[in-house]
Amino acid sequence: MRLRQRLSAYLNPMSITTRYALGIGLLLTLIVTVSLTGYLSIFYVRNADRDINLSTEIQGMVLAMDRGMERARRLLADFHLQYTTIGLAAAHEQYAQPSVRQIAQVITISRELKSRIKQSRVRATLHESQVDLNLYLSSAKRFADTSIQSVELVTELAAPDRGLEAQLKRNLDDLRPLITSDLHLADLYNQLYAHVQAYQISRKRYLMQQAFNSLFDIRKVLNSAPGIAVDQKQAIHTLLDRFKPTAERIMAVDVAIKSKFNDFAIQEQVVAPISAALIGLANAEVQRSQARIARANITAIIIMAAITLMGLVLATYIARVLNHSITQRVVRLTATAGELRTGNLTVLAEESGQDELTELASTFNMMATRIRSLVNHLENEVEQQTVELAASEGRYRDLFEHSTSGVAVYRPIDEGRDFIFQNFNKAAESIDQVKREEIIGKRLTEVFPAVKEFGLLDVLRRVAKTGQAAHHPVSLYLDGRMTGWRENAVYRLPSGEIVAIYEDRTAEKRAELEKAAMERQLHQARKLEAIGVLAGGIAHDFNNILGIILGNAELAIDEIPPRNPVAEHLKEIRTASMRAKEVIRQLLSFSRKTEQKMEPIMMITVIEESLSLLRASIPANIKIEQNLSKSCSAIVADQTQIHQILINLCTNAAHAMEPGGGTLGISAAMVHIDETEAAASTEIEPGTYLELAVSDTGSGMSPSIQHRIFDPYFTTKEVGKGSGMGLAVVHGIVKNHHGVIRIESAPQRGSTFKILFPTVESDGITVATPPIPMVGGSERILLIDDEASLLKPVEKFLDSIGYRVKAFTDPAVALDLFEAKPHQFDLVITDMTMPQITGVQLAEKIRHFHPGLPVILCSGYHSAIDEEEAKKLGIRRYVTKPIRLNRLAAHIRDVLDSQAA
Amino acid sequence: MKEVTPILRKVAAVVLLTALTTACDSSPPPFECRDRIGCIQISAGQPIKIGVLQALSGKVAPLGEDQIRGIELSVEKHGGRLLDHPIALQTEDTGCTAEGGANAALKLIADPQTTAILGTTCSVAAASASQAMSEAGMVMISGNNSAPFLTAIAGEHAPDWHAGYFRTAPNEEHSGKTAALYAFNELGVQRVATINDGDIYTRGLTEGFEKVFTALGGKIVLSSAVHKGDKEMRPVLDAVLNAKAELLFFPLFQPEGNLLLIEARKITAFDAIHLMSDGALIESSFIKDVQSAATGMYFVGPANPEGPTVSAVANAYTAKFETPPATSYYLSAYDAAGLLLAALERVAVRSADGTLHIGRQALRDALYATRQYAGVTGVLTCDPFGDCAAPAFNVLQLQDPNKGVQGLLANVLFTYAPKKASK
Repeated sequence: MRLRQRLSAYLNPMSITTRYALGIGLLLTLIVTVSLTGYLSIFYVRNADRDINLSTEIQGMVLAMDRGMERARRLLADFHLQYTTIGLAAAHEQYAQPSVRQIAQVITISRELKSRIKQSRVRATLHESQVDLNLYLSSAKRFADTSIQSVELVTELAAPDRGLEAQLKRNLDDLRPLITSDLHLADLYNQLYAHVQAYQISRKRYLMQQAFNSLFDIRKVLNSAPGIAVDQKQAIHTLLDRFKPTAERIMAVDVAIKSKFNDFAIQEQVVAPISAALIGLANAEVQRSQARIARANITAIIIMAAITLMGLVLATYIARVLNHSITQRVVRLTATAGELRTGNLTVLAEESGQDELTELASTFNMMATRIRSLVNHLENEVEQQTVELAASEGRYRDLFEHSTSGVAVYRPIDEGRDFIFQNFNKAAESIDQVKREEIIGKRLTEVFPAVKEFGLLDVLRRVAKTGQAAHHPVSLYLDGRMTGWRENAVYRLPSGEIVAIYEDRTAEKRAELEKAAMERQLHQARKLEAIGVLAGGIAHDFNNILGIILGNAELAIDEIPPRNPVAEHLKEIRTASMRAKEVIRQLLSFSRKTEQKMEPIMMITVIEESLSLLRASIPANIKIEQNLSKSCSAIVADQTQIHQILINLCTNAAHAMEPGGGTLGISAAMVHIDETEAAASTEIEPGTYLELAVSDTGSGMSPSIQHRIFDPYFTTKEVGKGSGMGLAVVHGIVKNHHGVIRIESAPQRGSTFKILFPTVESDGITVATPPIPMVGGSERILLIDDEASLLKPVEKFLDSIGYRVKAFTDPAVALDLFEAKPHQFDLVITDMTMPQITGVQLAEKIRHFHPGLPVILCSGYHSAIDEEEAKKLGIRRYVTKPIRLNRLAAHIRDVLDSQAA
Repeated sequence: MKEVTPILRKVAAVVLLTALTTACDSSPPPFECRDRIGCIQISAGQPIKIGVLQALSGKVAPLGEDQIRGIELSVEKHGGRLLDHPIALQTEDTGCTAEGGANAALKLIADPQTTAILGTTCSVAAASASQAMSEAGMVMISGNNSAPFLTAIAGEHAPDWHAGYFRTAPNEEHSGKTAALYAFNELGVQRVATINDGDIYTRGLTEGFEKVFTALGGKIVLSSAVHKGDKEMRPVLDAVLNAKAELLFFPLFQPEGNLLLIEARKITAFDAIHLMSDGALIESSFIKDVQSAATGMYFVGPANPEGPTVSAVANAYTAKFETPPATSYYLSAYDAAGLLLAALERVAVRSADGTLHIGRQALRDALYATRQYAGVTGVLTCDPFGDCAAPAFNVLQLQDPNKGVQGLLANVLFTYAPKKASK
């Protein structure tokens, strides 16, 4: 109990973490100690086990070496015993070779054994046996060497045919027939033979020495033997000479073999104790290792049991301490927290001790107090923030409602495929001309049915799906109810609602379109101006040519009888010339190189005049219907050009209905172009216009043709029926009059050309009357033209109507004449364009000598002189070539009469 | 700064201490063996092991025992220690045979701590032992081998020469010559028979004799042999008689030499024939065995050293072994051991832990470099073939067997002492 109290006194001041760390640390220490003990025991036992294995292995190897050596010796002994019986080759194969193999194996084992002992951890006694092992290994090697040498010696001695003994036997055999003819010698030979055989049995050298002595005797007797021929004696001596070395070598080999046997015996004496000692050492090592294992096992069991018991006691005590000081207090703290959770804010936790749980209880109590304070404060805060929220809501509402951009809020439905209007600000109401109350809750596709084609619906769907804000560029919305250009920015609110903020871009878009149209017109104008310059250049030449043709034709008509058939041809020439003149005039008109006389006119009057002229040239199968509103206002226009428009359009319509005929419709009415319609066009402003419409029921036109019909020289007619300039001229005139021309046509459905003219007030509008025809006179006229062919007909015509004419092709000559008598002429008619001098320069010189003398200037084309300048120079009239002679006569008369007045 | 200064002081102190420790560390570097063959490491307290190969069995055992005694006397002279290490002799019996020498040598070579070998007694054992020793990188010094085959013949390397082999016994190439000179010049014989026992020692002697005798103008009428262990000597003696030899030169060991002499004395014809043997029979046991049969017999053997040093060693011999020395061959063994110990002292290197390091090649080189070594047998100078003794041979005649070896040694009839051949 005292120990427990002391432990409690020691543990209580500690923190929970320290107590846990202490407890777990103690347990871990015990576990580690047990593990370490186990590991050390295993290590110890394994080492001992390894030593046992090694010692056993050494034992086995030593035994294997001994067995190998024993087998090798036995085999070698068998070889020496058996070779005389079974033959040298068989003995070699059966005994000598296996013996060598055995000893080679012994050498290998002994080397391995030496290596094992050297590398192993066996006891020092075994290490010390290295010396013995060295000797064992050396002896084994020596045995191998000596055994091989002994076999070689035996082979040298006993090899069949070539062995020493075989040689000796052959020698004796060879000697026998030579020597046995003499009885004494034969007796000696037998002694020799007997000694040799005795030696081969006993291997005693003295026996061979006796044989040598017998040889001495044989030689002695042979030298004194009379019955033996000298040659035979010589042969016998030769054989005797051979005998001794062979016998000496046999004895030396015998001695060597004996020495080898001695060697084997000594080797056996050397190695036998070594192997016995090694086996003994290995046995002792095994026993020692087994004893070590037994000791290690007992020690480990005792240590582990003690530690386990101590661990159990310690774990129980630690568990009790932790339960008392931690777990039970945590349970009480949890119960207190439960009460707080149920709303009892007055509850307090128990605070006792110094550890983390005490700190936790203190914190818990502080938190409870704080929560009580916060709850009270929170209620006040909520009330205040509700008021602020309402104010904030109002600000955002104002922002929404007073935005100049349209703002629409949608709620996705049908999985984001359609959208319901949630909100709609005032600017949006104004732009889209709808009321907020009418569309809230409705589908977008219901309120704006063309929203899909407009492109916005796809943008809304994408934004609803991805949440990525998107911009829908300026696009045209067009449905039955409204038309307008809109630009949208779309994004998704966190609530999932989709917001579209958009602007009405109709005005900007219209301005942009108009700017583009003006650029096109400018381009067209430049193109036409270029054509005009070209046309102006050639018009003068054409008119000069036509003047010659026309003048000569008219002279010819006047000079031949009317019934002459040639008269008709000449009239055709005159008619064709006039038509050509008209073409040139139209060309000049298209290029605005003719002067315009803009004045208020009544369209209906001009239409009626034109129709009266056209009726004669339009085929009878074409019915003309006219619908002319009496309320048509006046327009400011060149009457001639309006007339030209009607002629060209009606002529085209008649050609379109050939050859089957049809109905040619001409109408004039007032129309109003509102802003919507004007926005869709780039050519016209909103306002009231006079609409001139010419329609036919002819072949009609495809869209591709419609696009090109106003291009100059574009024609679909066959050759000879049109110049391709008609509609180009019409287009040019309309543009000059600030009008708009529209085509409604389709193949086989006829065509309608509608021309809108700006109107003016029609009060005080008068219609010009035709000029009065003029007659001839007797005044003096100076006529100058560098074209002789043009000059002649005019001179002749003026002569014919009574004038006195001086005609010159060279202006210098004419001026010389004029200078001489400046007052001999009443009128000067001059060509404008001449090589040396222009008509204007000529007029200036004439005015110098005769101021006030009237001048008529004739030109194929001239536009560079204005009316004031012309008056200063005395130019009273400006006549365009080719000119009809009677019209020239009228001009002359008019000028002269004006001069006279 | 107040906090930093103590730390700096501590660091500085550690650095200074380390520097001082390093500076004071004067321990020499560990020994590095640079010997071409290798080194023997003998730890402090461990003995210097020297192998001894001698003939310790059979009739020649007294020769081997005398060799050992000579060696022991030399070691004892050094107090049984060398360079503070005890000297341990490991003795093995060669049996005076080639195979015995080879196997006995293996026993010594098997121990890598064996520093050198002293031996052998018999040249035939030395031939095989020398080869094994040489291959193991060792040195071997014999006090008894005299066969020319082991070192040099006519100034050339002999067939059984091996590097590391030395001897303090003289090369008996001149022994045969001495015998031949005496026979031809002094005895006036013209016809000689020789008998050897086939080993390199006796063969070397007979061949040396035959060569010189023939060169002098004599004739070798018989060149025969007996085998070790032969007992029947009559046939070979008959051959001698048949050859009409005037002198029989038979440099054999015991017992073959004994048997042959006794058998010859049984034959009357041998009374007229001079009998001559060699140093192998200049041994008291021989004289005791044959007694009067040896009377008048000639012996050729190395010149017997004399002087106060020899007397001192002889006295030590007698004191230690309680018997006077039977021959003088122990003196050569004494010199062989002295030569080896002197060379070891010159080449051994001692490291700080007391370990001796002996380079094997260095030891060989030191022995080959031996010049004017004052041995008891004379001044020794080793030539490149391993011969260290100056050759000097006497021809002796036994006149009175009762005077024993000493009487024999004292009866010098002829001496031949040529200058050493060298290459």
